[in-house]
Amino acid sequence: MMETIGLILQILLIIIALVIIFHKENFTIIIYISAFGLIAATLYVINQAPDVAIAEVAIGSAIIPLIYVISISRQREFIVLDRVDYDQFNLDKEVSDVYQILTEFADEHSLKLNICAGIKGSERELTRELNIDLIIVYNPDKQRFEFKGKSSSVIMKQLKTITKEKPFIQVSTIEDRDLYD
Amino acid sequence: MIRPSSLIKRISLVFLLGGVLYFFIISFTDFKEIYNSAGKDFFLLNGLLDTGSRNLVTAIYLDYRLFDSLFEAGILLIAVSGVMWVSEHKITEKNANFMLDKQKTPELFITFSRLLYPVMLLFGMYVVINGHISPGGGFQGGAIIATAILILYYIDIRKTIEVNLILTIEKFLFLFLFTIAFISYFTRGEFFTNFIPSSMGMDAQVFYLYLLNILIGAKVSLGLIAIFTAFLKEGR
Repeated sequence: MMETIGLILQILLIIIALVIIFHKENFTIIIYISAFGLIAATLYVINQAPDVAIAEVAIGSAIIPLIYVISISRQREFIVLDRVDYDQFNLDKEVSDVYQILTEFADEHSLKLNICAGIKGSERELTRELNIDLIIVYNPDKQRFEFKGKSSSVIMKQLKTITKEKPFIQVSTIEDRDLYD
Repeated sequence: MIRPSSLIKRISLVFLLGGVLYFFIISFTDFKEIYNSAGKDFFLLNGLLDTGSRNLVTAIYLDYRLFDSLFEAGILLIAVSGVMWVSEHKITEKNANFMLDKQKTPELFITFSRLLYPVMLLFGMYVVINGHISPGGGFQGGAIIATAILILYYIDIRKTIEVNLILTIEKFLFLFLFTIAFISYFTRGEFFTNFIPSSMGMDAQVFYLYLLNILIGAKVSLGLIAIFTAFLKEGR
């Protein structure tokens, strides 16, 4: 009886491993990784290794999937740093237009818009170290907003095409070429 | 396009690995010498008397092979330090003010987490303390405690934990672990084993197992908490 259960679980383990490799949806893969950990733990118990099974349950099916969930939800964020000095200039109407564009853009790509303000530091360092996707700056001489982001980012190219017809927005890129060898 | 010098490096690496595999296979000629029950018989016969542990796995990793366990703890410390180093930022992030962070956890999940949190914490401590009687031990119990504290983040996302302090405590725990493992040289004349002589009886020896399991449990749980705190705080 126990041998049959073990055999069935081993076959299931191979099937789940193949599903993890070939599936496309990230969050579904995490559920499968969790199931993989549980089945592996059951197999350890069947093969009389309860110590290893406890460790496998705690790490393989709880901590590792949760770390994956955190990392993937981080990647779905669109982090915007707002550096416009609202006390100095009176631009309520333009700002609402800018945020309309950004919200629509984030909704279209199913990203979560995360707006922050008040972080000090140079633009180059911020985009490199803090994962900030976009920095908004107001240029009072030319009366327009400047969007700044990494030149390697795909988001910046799409933002450029979207904001082509808006005269009060200009998209520029920051070079971030890292030299790896 | 691969440069010729890099191509030579790769080919020589493949040949090196192939050679290692070849020598590995031809060195195993007599399988009866490798797969026998001598070790199992030895531990079943002497394990309880030598170490005072009913769980023979604990007997091995806290007494017979304590040297291996110490370096396992060291590897975890190195991994945690590596994660900290990668996720470290130079810019002071204290003035970061995220206005639109509406990461709302479902109400049902929060309620169940509140019910589950004390039970999980208690179970983790039970597994740590009873490591020498029942299945489990320092590493397993520490992982369960870390999972319980991970649930705490889902109850309240604003919770802050000082990661550098945790890492410092973990380093000192590792040092303490090494010291306790080293005491046996003065009391019994052997490196890395139980510092209480076996002449004092099994009840006294169990004290050492409690102490080491609790130390390893604390170290592992702090290390795992530091790792996922680094993941949570990454980029904020």
